[in-house]
Amino acid sequence: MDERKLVRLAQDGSEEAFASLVRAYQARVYSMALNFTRNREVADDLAQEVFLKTYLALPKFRFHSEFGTWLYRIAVNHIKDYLRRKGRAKEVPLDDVREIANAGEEETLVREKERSAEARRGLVLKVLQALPEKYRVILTLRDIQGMPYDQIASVLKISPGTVDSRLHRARKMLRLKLGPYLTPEGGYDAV
Amino acid sequence: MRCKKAEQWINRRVDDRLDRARTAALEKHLAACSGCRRTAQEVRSLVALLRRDTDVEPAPGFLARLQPRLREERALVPLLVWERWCLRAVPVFLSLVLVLVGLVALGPSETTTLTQSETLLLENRIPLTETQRLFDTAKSEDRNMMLIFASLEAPAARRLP
Repeated sequence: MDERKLVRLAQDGSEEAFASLVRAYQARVYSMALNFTRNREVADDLAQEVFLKTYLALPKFRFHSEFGTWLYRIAVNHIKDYLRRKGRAKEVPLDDVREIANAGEEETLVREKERSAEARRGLVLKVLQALPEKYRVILTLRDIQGMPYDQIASVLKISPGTVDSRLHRARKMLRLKLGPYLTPEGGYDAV
Repeated sequence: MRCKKAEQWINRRVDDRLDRARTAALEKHLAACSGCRRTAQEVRSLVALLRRDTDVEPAPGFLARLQPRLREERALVPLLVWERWCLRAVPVFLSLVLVLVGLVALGPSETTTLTQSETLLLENRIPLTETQRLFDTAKSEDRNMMLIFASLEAPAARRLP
């Protein structure tokens, strides 16, 4: 069934229609929460709370944007609130980064080569979590979730130009912290 | 091209947001600038590491765990659907009120002023009989007094324009 129709039915109180919307978006919302928190249980709780909030706010949804965009906005704001409450936005000193990187290197020497990329990814995500909130949010939405620019602009209520400049700055910050660990195995000669 | 501009374009190129002409200019710059080449490699590497092409599914029974919570919320907010209907009804109600007000304001106005005879008829009194009763009064003093009182009452019952 057409999503718009499902939303209208859910607004009129149809449990089945809302369940269909949850099924359609649960993986996306859960992944978003997981990318921000890196904790499956917390991500599950957050995703559930996001859908509860969405359900309660549904009568106020006026189709000014796509339902998905509106839902992601609720999700991003809810996750940001959680992270603020938990005080996750602490700076990770560069020494810590080096330690994590070394641990990753040791592991890659011992284990399979495939584990290397995952270890490096873990390191990148760890450093990403220490970035200021607005940069962490934009990197998560764009580089991890792969969300299009215009949707990010709509979710965060900022202009596409701001998305562009903020993303540029965020990647630069991350590169400056991780640069030495990115280049050797980057494997990309051409842009 | 300056390296600062090249760095901006590298980011856009990674996201496939750089047109052909600029891509060509960037390639030319990268061929000559080892610093920007390194930046390009780092950005590519970073984005490749971060990107997750598929979403991760939550633990099984996500919806089953959510539904009791939804019912709980629904019990706490029983007017949720009702509120929505009320919100829809507000403009309908307002437009009905406007239509009624308009009908009352623009409709024909009828003044229902009765004549003196009509008033007497309505009160089940026959004017001639009333007058005759005045003249039939035996005592002249009484008759005069009744005529005076009748004349005083008359202006109140006069036909209005």
